[in-house]
Amino acid sequence: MAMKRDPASPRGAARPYRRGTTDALPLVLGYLPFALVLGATIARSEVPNLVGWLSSPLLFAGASQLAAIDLLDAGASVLVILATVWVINLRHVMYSGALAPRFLNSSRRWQWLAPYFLADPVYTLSAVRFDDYPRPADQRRYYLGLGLTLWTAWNLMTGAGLLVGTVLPPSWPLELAVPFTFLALLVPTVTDRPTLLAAAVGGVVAVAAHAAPFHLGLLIGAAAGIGAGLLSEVGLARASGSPRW
Amino acid sequence: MVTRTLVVLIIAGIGTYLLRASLIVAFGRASVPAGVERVSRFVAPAVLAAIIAPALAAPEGRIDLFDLRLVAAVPATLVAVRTGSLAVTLAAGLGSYLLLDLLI
Repeated sequence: MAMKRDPASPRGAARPYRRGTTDALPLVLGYLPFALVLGATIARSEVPNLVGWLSSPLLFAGASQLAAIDLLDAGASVLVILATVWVINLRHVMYSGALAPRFLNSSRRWQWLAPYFLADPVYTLSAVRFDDYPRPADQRRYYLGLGLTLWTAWNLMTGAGLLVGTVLPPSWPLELAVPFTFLALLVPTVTDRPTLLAAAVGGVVAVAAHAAPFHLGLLIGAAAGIGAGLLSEVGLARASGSPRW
Repeated sequence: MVTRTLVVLIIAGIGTYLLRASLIVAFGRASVPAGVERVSRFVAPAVLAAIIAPALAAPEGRIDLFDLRLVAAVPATLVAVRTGSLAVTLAAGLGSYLLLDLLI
């Protein structure tokens, strides 16, 4: 993640596809414990191993996979399972909207292919790194390098979790790797006071709403954070006497 | 049972994919409304914080502001700001937590 710009490169940054794959490697490390936990959960559940593992290529969204396996194991109704998965993944609509301007002039085929890889870290890192690549073709190469590497690793690691996850001591804080990984992803997205406020309000409200049904707390927190960021941007613009809209 | 489970996961996966494709495809042919562009830079900080904070401050389903996970997030954040490295941040966060857990 901390790669420096390569001055020898004609575009002033490392080759995009390659850089996407190297950016993915520390993320793979961060996701490994979570993948093992998910694999172990599948192995311990009533859900057949192969079917449970298929949730990785089908969903490519760890938190919702874990919730789906838990609910399937508990014999929940189809509607509850689908509602839970989709509410957890509703945040991806925000990622889709945030990336839409970047892919505006891409081919239709790309606009349908790219979203398949649009997991949290793929969006977050792309949003930060795309600024290094002014050409849309390079942005797509970066995105594909990152997305394909993570996707491949996720499928392999959840498979490994099926085999070895159940032998890991339950006292290991494996579930902690994800929040700390996301913390490292969060830091570079906070660039000024409005984005700091968006993060602070998003976090506090999500904690206050953590008991909301269907994992809605995440969405409530995210919406509050985005609203706070927008408001503070307007306030800052007013204060400096240069209205932006 | 196997077929039903598989069908549920396939439908859940198609829905997730459509959520991800929604606005990229919807705006892809025309232009992106100015409001969406204004909102977009707040998406990552707000969403990530909303994922992280409850996992650290209410990990057992109850709010606990003195949870060791939340305490360990302080050095992890400092390291993240200082190094910008994901691997080092992860090591600092997990290391601090394990150390605190050992000491307390």
